[in-house]
Amino acid sequence: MDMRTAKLFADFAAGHISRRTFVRRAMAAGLSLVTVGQMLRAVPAAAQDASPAAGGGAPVVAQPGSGDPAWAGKEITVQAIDDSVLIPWEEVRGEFEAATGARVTIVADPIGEAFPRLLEDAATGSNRFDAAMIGMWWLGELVAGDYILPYDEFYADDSGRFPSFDVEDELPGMRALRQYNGQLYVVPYDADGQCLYYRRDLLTDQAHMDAYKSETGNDLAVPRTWDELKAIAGYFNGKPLGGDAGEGNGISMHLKVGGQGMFHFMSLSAPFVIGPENKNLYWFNPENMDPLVESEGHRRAMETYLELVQYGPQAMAAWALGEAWDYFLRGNAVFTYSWGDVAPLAVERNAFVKGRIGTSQLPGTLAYVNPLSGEEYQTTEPNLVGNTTGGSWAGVIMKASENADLAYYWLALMATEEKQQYYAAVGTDGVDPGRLSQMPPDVVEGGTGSIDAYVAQGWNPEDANEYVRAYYDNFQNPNQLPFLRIPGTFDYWTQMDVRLSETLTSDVTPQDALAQMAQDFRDINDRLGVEEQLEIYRGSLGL
Amino acid sequence: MAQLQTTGPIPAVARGTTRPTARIPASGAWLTRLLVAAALVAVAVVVSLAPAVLHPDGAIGLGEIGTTLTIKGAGWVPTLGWLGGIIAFLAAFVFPRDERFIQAVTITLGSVAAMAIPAYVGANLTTLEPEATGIGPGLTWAWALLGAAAVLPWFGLLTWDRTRPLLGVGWWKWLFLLPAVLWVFALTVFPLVYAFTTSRYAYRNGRISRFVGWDNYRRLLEPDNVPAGLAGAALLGLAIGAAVLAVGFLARWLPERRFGVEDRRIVLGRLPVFIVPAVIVYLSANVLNDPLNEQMTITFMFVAGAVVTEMILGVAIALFMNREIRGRGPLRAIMTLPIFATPIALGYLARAIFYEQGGPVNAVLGSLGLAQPPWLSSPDWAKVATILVDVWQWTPFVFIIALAGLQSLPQDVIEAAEVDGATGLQVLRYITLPLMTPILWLIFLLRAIDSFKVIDIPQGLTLGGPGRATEYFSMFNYRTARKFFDYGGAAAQAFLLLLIVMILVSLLWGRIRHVYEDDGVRA
Repeated sequence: MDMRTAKLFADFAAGHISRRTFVRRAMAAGLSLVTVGQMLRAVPAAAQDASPAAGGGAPVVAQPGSGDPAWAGKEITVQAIDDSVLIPWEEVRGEFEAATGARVTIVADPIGEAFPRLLEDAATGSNRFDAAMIGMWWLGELVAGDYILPYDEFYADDSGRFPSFDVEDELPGMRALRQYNGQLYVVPYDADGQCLYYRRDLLTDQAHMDAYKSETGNDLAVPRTWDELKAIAGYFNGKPLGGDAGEGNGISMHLKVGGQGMFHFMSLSAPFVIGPENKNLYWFNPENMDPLVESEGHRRAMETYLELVQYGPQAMAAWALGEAWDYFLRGNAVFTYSWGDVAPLAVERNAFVKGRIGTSQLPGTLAYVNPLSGEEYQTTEPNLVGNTTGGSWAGVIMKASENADLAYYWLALMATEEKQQYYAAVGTDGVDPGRLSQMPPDVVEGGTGSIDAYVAQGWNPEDANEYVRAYYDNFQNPNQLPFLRIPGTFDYWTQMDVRLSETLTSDVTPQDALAQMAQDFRDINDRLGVEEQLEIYRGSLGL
Repeated sequence: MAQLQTTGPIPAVARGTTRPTARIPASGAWLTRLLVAAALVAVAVVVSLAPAVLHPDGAIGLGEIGTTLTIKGAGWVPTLGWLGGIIAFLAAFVFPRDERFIQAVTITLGSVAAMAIPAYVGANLTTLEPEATGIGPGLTWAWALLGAAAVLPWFGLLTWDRTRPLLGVGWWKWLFLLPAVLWVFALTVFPLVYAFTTSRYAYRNGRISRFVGWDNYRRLLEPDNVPAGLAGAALLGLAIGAAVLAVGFLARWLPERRFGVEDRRIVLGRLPVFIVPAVIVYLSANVLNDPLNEQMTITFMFVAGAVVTEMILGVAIALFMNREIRGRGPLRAIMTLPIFATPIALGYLARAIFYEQGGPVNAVLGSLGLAQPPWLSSPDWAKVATILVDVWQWTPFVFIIALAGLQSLPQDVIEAAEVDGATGLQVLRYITLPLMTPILWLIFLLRAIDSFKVIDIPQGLTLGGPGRATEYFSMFNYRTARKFFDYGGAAAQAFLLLLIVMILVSLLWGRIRHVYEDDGVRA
């Protein structure tokens, strides 16, 4: 192919031009109908179907026919949650099929049903799925049940058989989630962690700065501790913030039972418990599995949490994720703290807060308490703790798969830097940044990405830089909230969710709620077996 | 009440038994029964005493093999085995002598089903116990005895229990029934029994991990509260009983200063209606563990709140619509529309309707200057919201059936009362409602059973929150199984609900039968 034809083909394959444009230009270039027909067939379905939307689609990584010939005609079935993170899988399907000659069937299950179905499929030996997109809290059951396959062997294969990616590209906090007992189980895809989103326009508004100073004696700035955040949220609560609700609120949170509200508490409570002198003790005592959630640090966190909730609308108690985001995006709250979707959604929706959003690592504390010893550690600088709360949706290979290599190809293709750079910048797909290749070097140390990927999607460069920096700080932080990755994790978290909700909507005191939570945890331990839980808990902490 | 007076004995001709019944010597039939029973009892004894599988480290009993089978995912085998044995044993005695064909078929099928255990273990011995050296005498003898039990009834029919016709009169009727019976057995009876097997195991990582006996049932209770709870329930029952007796006596005695045998029977007959539900509610709140006690209590609240409201509204609307009004036909059709909506969709729809900030309900209330309840963020209001959605959907159901009942009432009685000068209220109080009583109880029963199973409305509307305020029993049970993978615990919970609903349903059926056979006739 000459250069012009090659570029035409590449543009079409990358989805930069439509099928109609491709055919018209091909004819103009003098290509015969037969040749054009062959090229159309060779191009991945996703690229063929891609509409010429602003920004184009993800770059094509796997060239047609580049896969192992042995894969031609094979078929794999992969499970995914029926949510925004499914979008890239659907888009890349055609590229995968064109490259390998194999067929992939994507089974999209509702988020609430996906894990039960996957577990049933594996536990009953049906083995319908070759790979699955999992939330990290599923990992306990999947590893303990010996249902998934470590992919170290495929990863080490440098023959060019598989698309390549670098696990070291993921930031340390996220990287730790993907491994278990030193083996690689989860192929990187999405990266979840909670950061603070704030209204930069309000926090830098001179009138508010003056008023806040005179009211509190402190400077109005991005909060570095939860106490500072409370004070600022309290100051703005009830004032017009420019949104459509008239009187705005200090904060917007999702607190509905079953609406992932417990993640708010986990992220908030981390710096009350975790610190340089205590990196692991948050959930259970690793010697006997006794719950630690009754500790002084957890109690202080719970009180802060309850105070914070006062600065949001009462309806928050029944809000799920989307409602809390929406309230913030419409300009009705100064703060929200959530996953990496908020800022991209502001861009995608051209929301009121676009260009006004600042992002930072979550605030910390000036003291934290070791839950086991009860010892309190004072800090001069805010004790900031990173978190990986959330799903961090990513792929695993099922152990019973007869096409594990092909399944790995599929997941590795999704994990390539080219795809990940693109999808991290797009708001609608739910893939959030957690890799150095998604971050520009002038913003974060060691970054290899470019802010252009974000700007190309319509981001305000300042928003994008702050956003990327915040996630870098969060995942790079050496102090991380330990992620619970043991069987029954969803059960433990549900009990936490329920007790938090009860505390918010009834007269239960924080101490009582935490005591009940601890008892719930003990009951779950008893049901699942303390010794078995202890063993896998220690393994999940790398002990 | 002509239709209610034809409840006497049905003539033999009507029962289709005009042909003479074959004379079957009782001794022959009893010999078969005893031999089958003896074989099955011998199976039980043999498998209890003799080893089922031989192993270098010692013999393995049937119980242990059953546990291994279940843990390895073949729990259906022991379940089918013991269920088949019980069915065969019962079949030896429950069928009348002239139903010898179905008796023989049932014994054979039950015995063959029970043979699944030795057959399966024999075929998969090394998979189940890799070091096993062979099948033990327990299973070998069980196999032989079950085989004997399977053929004994047929052998008896051909020898010591021989009659004409050989298979009994009208034996072929069972051939028509058998497919339906097998269908019900396969899709209802066996799953129920398998759920019992499930309830005796602990699950881990989505699969059975170990046999726990009755632990899943014990976990339903709060052991420390049981003695006090039972004592409290007994006192409550006594107090309610005394109150019902006192009120019943006064109500019966006052009008005519007389309290006869019939009055006593009626008052005593109403005792369980008041005592049993109260005791069940009390025990649920005080004996069950946390949070099951809470879930059961709010479920009772939901059932009572929703069903009573639906009954009152449905009957009231039916009374209103049971007259000549313009557009009655289309109006009735429109009123039934909510029944056709999918409950889960209603739940999501209601979420938008009850949305606290700018939702239509609060917007209307606000525009009227009324308080805007926190429908979804307050535990109490959230319960009200779920009840309101259920009422909206199911009131038309009550309305339709009540209307059908009203339209089937004998008009001559009502017209006679009106001619005698009865007011509308008097007709309602003394004629319409008494005649409607049986059908009202039936509607109540259907709605109560259905309401106990509510899950879709709270799932769409509140996800069970705030806290656990609207996590009604079925939702709790579903989460236990499908979210926490505690299938054993969930099965035990399901049996608890089954027990409670069965007691209440039996009570209501008794009441309905009483009304039909007694009050209805008297009315």
